[in-house]
Amino acid sequence: MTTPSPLRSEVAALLADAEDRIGLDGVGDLRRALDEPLTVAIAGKVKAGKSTLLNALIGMRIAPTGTGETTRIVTWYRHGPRYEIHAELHDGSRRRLPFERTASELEIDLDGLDANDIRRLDVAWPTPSLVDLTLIDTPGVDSINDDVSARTRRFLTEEDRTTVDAVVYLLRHTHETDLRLLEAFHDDSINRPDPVNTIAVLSRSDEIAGGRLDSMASARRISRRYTDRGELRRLVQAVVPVAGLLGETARTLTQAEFDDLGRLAEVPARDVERSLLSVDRFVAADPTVVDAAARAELLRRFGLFGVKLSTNLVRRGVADSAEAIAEVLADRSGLTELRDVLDRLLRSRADVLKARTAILGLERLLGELPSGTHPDLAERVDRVLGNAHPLRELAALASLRARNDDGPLATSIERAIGGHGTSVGQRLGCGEDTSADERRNAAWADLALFHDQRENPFTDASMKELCDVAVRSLEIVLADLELAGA
Amino acid sequence: MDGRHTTEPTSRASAGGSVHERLRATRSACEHLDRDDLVTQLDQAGARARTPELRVAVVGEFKQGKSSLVNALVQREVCPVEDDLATAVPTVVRHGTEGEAVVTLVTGAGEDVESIERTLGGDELRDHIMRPIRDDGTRVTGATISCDNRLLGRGVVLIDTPGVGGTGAGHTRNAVSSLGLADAAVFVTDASQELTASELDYLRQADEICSSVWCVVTKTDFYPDWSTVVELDRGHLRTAGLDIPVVPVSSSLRMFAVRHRDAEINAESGIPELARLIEAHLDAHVRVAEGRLGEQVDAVLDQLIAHHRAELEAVRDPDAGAHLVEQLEEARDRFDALRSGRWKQGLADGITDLRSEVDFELRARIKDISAEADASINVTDPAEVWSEFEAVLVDKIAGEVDAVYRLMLESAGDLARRIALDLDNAGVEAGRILDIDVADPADVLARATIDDEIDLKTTTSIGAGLTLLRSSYSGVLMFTMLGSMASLSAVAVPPLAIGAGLVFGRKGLRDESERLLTQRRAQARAAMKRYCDDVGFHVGKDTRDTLNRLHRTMRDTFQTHADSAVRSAREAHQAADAARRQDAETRKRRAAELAPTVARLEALRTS
Repeated sequence: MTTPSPLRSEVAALLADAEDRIGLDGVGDLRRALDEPLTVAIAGKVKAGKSTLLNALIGMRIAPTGTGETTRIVTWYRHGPRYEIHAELHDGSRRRLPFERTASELEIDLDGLDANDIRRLDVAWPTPSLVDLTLIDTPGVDSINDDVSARTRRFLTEEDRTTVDAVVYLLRHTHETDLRLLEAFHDDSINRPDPVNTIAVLSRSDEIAGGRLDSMASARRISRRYTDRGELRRLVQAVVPVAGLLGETARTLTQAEFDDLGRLAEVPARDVERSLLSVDRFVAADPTVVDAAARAELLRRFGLFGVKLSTNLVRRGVADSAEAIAEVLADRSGLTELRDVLDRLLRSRADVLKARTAILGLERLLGELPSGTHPDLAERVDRVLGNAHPLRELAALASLRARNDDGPLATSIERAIGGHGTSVGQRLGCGEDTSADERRNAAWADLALFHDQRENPFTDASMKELCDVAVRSLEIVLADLELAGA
Repeated sequence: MDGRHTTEPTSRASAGGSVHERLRATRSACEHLDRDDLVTQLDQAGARARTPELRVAVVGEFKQGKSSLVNALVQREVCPVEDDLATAVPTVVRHGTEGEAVVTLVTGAGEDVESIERTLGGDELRDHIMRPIRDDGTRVTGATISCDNRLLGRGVVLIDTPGVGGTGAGHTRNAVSSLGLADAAVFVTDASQELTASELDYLRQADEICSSVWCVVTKTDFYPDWSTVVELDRGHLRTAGLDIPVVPVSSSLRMFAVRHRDAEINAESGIPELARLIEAHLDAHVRVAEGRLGEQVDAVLDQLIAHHRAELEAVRDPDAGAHLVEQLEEARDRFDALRSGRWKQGLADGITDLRSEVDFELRARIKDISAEADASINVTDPAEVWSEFEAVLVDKIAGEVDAVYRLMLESAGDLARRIALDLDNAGVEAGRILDIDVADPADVLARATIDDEIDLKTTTSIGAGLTLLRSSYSGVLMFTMLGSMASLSAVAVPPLAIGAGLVFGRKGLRDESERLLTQRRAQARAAMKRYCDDVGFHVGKDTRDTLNRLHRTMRDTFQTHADSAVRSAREAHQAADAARRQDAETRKRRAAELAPTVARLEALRTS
């Protein structure tokens, strides 16, 4: 984000003007939010593994996790120069909270405040992974505790819509309530979390096959089916299977844990098989190898699947150091893939997503004023929304998703407008090692296809519009290629 | 009526013996007395009591390990288990020839739906259970798998159900409809998390419907904190005021134990404990059934005792006998009148009323839903909400269809009780004339009929009528769930563009989109109406057929019992009448024969 894109500068200018003219707090908030890093909310049902995934993404055990419901207040984790935690109350005031960091999590002292009075917790933490990404942990919906559910619904569907740029939604093997919540996200047609900025994670993937070693393969198959299926395709950009606990552990693995795994790997395979039949058996197994307390801790950190997988990896000599096993586990847990998808589909478009959040926020604020108050501002908002090509691409992506069309034309358009990633190679469907000439040829071929389809009398009106957007995207790609070639 | 039976020992199966021993002894007495009608009656009662089915539905949310639990209970892989796909149709697992499996399919659409059964096995069976909508246009509505297992052999029937809350066809969130007419429910939730709000809500409904509900926490082998989850669940149930036992189990440990014949691991799996609870419930069930069998045996004995005591009185004292014969004659005439009497008309009238009541309810309920659906179509865009709309519609209809069947079941029970009462009154009147000190034959009739009424009413033991009702019920229910999906999904959701507003430059699009929206709504409305009509037609037809079968069953049952009572009364009259005219020697010999018979019959009777 070193050189702001033209779109972003335009939006910033527009917000500055609007702030001068209207003087609403909301506009100032939008302008300040525009300079913040990409803000991603992690949402899902109770116990979907939201905090665990958040820890895995940050690479630290910071958000509290546990067996009961642990996250009861919306919590922001952002980069800051100092360790600091604030509570923001509904009346707008902020209060600094004392906290204590234990080996496994952050203990925040609410300092006598009632959870219901707190709008959100704001955790500032000086860690590199938060530099260009702010993460928001949300309480689960479908909680027995109605207050908690309501807090999340309010957060995701109303209150903070103007500040969240993207959503990672955690699903456990699809559940109806999940779909309904996802649908609530985009209840109005052009706004807020929608296929453009929502990624679904099939969470706790290691549990799908009850801890069998091929669990992740099963999870991958299921994710593919979801991605191909209409209901989810309409709602999200991609579905990625992730074993969050394993991912978290992979990024926070200790040498002591690796040593324990090493000792377990030396036990004869047959004994191990019987001891890994159940968690209770594992904890009660031979204390001379690893004692019960350490075994219980291993289970808490790795899960039964993780213990099976890791001892197997160590025994087969696939991984012979803590670093090596951490890498394999990150890969097997799906965390590596998720980070890649986040980079490709969200981070690479951070500028556009932020601009979009801001401009839609401004549009909403203007809409709340008596009609005709600032016709020129409204017109400028309209113009940005209608003309800025990156925004048109996002809208076209949403529209493509909604068509639920996986024909060759739709697939080509999706690729060209950045549906698979925004780099030139990704837009053209070329590998990174293709020559400039090959790329140019590919671009011209696509361009010709979209031109033809646009002129074809049998192409329906909305598809023609989509072709238009794709043509423009390719023109920009070709200009870039020329620039690079020159 | 030869003398052989008097040589039979009389004390062996006295009132102290088990009900089955009393049944055997009574049966052989009936044989010796040439009462084949009573033998048949006893055989039927015995057969019904021997197999007191306990239908246990295994229910719960999607992917909680329901099929695995069924497999663990019967110790073999009968229900298909896959990581991705889930059970999509109710799968009944019952005792029978190992490996036999039948799926029920429906073909056709609209009013030409036909139901067929197909014997399948292996992968094909698996595929049918998980993908109910077949490529050849047929739809699977259910499967029945037989296996030879001790628990099932005792009368437990397990029903593996599609999960509540999945997104595929056949998944419902309505507890009432997914429980069907099960006697008991095993609610399955896994140890990964405590009960959710929707799960608790389901449990609350299940608790109202079923005589027994167990909450089973599965996958305890996998989640280290399973015991915490179990405690949390117990707490939630207590707070909700539900007295439901929580049983932690591990199906995979059980299967390992079965494979390796490992008793220790078997105990650890928790499955034996669950089986024990189910069996205890079954035992209670059996006790009720045996109690009822005992009453029936007594009823038969009463008839025989009355008959033979009347004859005995007559041979002992011919003068008093003259008066007795008059009474018996009057009683016989009353019973005769009863046999051909008004109760048949009463039953027929009752069935007719019931038929129109059910028909009216069905129409009214579907009409209400249709109106509600119509209203909701008017304020939404079907393209955006269709899949959810479809699910809600199917779910609501299933709930109402279920309510109609319950109403039918309840009213049929009331009717049976009313007829029994009529017969009872008639019987009492007939019996009052018999002023002798023996059990009143009228009771016989009353008790026999009341028994059938209980069968229908409490669903504890299955009478023929109820079985009919149940099998047709599940078929129709599945029809509403999936059968007509074809007509619903016939509305091809038109290509739409949520984000099209932006692409088009927003304002110009409005008129065009208004027109398309109106068109979509019209399409949706037509599809919804078609579906409602379809359901109305099929359910209407099935309820009519079911009531006809029920009518026949009730008539035949009452008739058989009435016939026996009449026969007893007639034979008593004849025998007493004949005795009066016999010479003293013959009478004396006959009295010597009869006295031990009566004594033996009385010894067989309880109290």
